Amino acid sequence: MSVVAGHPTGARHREQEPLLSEILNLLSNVLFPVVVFLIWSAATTIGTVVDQNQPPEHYYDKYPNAVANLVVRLHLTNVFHSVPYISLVVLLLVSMAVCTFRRVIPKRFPKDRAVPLKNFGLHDEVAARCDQSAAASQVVSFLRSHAFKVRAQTIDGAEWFFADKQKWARYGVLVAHVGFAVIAFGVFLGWLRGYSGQLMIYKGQTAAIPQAPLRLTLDNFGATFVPVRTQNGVTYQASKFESTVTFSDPGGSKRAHILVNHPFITSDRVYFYQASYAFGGRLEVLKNGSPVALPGTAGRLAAQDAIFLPGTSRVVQYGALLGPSDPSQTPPGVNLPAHDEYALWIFHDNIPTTAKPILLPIGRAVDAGDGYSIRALPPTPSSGLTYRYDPGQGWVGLGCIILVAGFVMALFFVPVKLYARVTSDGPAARVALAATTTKGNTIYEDDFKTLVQELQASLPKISSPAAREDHAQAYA
Amino acid sequence: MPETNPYSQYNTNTQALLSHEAMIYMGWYDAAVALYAFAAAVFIGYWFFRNRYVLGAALTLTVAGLVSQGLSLGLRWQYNPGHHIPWNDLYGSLSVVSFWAIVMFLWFGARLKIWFAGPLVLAFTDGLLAYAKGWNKGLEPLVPSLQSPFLFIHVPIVLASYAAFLIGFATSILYLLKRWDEDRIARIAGQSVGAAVAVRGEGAALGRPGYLSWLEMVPAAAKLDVISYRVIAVGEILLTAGIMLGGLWAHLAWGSYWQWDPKETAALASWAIYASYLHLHTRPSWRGVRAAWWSIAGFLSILFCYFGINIWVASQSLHSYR
Ligand code: HEM
Repeated sequence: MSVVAGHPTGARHREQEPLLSEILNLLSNVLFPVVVFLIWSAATTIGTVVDQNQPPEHYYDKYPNAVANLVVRLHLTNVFHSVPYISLVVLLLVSMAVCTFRRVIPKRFPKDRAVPLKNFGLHDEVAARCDQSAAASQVVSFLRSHAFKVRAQTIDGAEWFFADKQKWARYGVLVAHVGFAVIAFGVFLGWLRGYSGQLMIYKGQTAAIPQAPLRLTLDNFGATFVPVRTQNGVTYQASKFESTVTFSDPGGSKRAHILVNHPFITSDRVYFYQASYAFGGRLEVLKNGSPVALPGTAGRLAAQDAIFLPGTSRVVQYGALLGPSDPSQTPPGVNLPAHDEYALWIFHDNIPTTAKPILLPIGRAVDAGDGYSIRALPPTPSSGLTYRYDPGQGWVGLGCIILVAGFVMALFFVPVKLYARVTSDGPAARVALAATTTKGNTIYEDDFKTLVQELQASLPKISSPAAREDHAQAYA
Repeated sequence: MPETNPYSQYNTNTQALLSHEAMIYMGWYDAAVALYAFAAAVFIGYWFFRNRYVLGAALTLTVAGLVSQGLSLGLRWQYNPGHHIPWNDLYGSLSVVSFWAIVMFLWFGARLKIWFAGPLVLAFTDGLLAYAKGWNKGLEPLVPSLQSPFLFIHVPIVLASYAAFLIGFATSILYLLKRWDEDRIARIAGQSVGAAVAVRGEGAALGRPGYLSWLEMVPAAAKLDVISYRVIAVGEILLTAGIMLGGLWAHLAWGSYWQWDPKETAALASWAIYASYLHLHTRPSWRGVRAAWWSIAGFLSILFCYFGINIWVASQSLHSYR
């Protein structure tokens, strides 16, 4: 700016102007967003086809070396959060804003004035067998009855009617573009101020949310399963799972149930979602009948977790929980045990001591050798919860509604401007009609034809006494 | 977002298909496949014998197919454990796409007079329906993530948009054929006065293979372009609304309205292709041939979004409902 101010008539100013308007012209060309849309959809497709956010080895495993090199070097492993990808969306927004101000808002129906109707793509003329004023009043009432707004003017002895229909629909484009901008704003706000995270908590455990003064305790977890017949036999599918949680914040505590599709929303609008679940196995290790404390393994066991028995070369490997608590672990075709039991292996010098996994019912113990025995304790359920705070979500929702409304307005309705000129033609009259739409002529061609035919049929044959008189004389 | 998938889904489950109830809904489904095939054949007849009775017969068969398909869906709904919605697998959802495609064909047919597109629309629809047979899982319970009213709203809306794009695909193909025919006639007419007279009269078939004589009954290419535009506009509105409702559902079920899940991103790519179609169409020079190819490309992207994701990319997708 100071440069321009320093050279009020300087050449710099004149050089800058065309560049700016050049850029604005480019941005407001409808072909520009089309190109961006295309690049955007190409980038999106790449991100869809290439697995995202995997370690490099994953790509070398999956693709030929050359392709994997390409994927890794071009950072196609994280397309959607990359700067170029986000830039595309920003470019689209900028171009849309420029476009909206330069093309969409200024776009108006032509002014009401006398125009050469023959030059319109859609035009026609009908002869009325009545006088000018009768024809004119019929044109008005006909157009009104066909949902047109009509304005009349007398220009050089001709009655002109300027009519339009669904004119409001021209704002659809504007509304759609505003909707997209509002969505973008909401997403931005959520990105700026929102947070989210995941928790895996066992029954009885308490966890704190790092971003808010909020703690939650898993009081209970329950899952219901239904049998599903498959080719390989019956398996069990979780049909419902539910966490019972106590939330506590400085204001007090509150009990809540969280299910899939039924998140819990705290008073601060933090959403808690049921995401996953697991049942941890629990084993007690006994040496000569008395319990042995095993640091690090006292808690819950997941599949393949191993317990090294101190002072021996023996290892207990936990397999799975089988039974009613979590029947989904039972392989297809295997009968579901009536009571919970664990499948486990005991290894001695890395060699399994049994040919098949040991099935150990809850409450029972098995001899593990060298004076050790392993007792099965009831499993502990755990719940995977996702939490999320998003201050932009209301804006995104609002933007969606605006965008869809704008789409419906812009795409479903055809704004039409109609011209009708009624001139007298001796004792009779002629009505010339022309129409234009914001979406080209073809879209209105058939309707225009029908409109003209109906108008012609509706014109009074011979209405005024004067006209009748003239007709009579003409035939005398 | 579920880190571990606590349940799994199974493909074609031959056991489940042997139940008496499964046989009943599959019977009506097969009837629909057959009726649509007959309807397509009679619609081809309508191309060559342009009379009301042939059209009436074709429409009757189409409606009969629609009714038996509706019955099949309704019965499966009734028989499903817990009476859950029957479009939770690829079989059910393809059936809904076909259902919508026929409903929209009847609707656009009445409004925009597109009966001439009958053979293409019915053939594509019937192809989808026949293909879907292999994905029938029988009567299975609904997984928790699908137990939501959104299954009732989001899925049919998205599938309706696919159906609209299918019809837009058919009219775009017809556009290209008709445009080829018009250009050919114009070329011949340009050659000599005699040829021009011949073109207007009996000799319209000059240089056009006999099996394409039906192109005469197809409206002018410029009209077809507008028809495609209107059909695609309906599809884009539905796709926009569908994607948004999906976001809302994801928000409730997974904790985030947008996960960059393959299904979401593929739908976004299709959305962008059709959005650019609508923008291009505001320019007269881009209407017509280029727009028609654009629409065909858009439909290919829809096929990718649908089959590509459900079948091919499925393992990474939360949307791998087969
Ligand atoms: C990204 C989201 C966008 C959406 C959802 C959107 C939506 C729409 C819709 C529905 C229409 C009406 C089309 C029709 O009548 O057939 C339209 C028209 C238009 N759009 Fe966009 N648009 C977007 C981006 C853009 C951008 C980036 C530009 C910038 C150049 C732009 C420029 C225009 C113009 C100039 C028109 C009107 C053309 C006319 O009616 O003559 N749009 N838009």
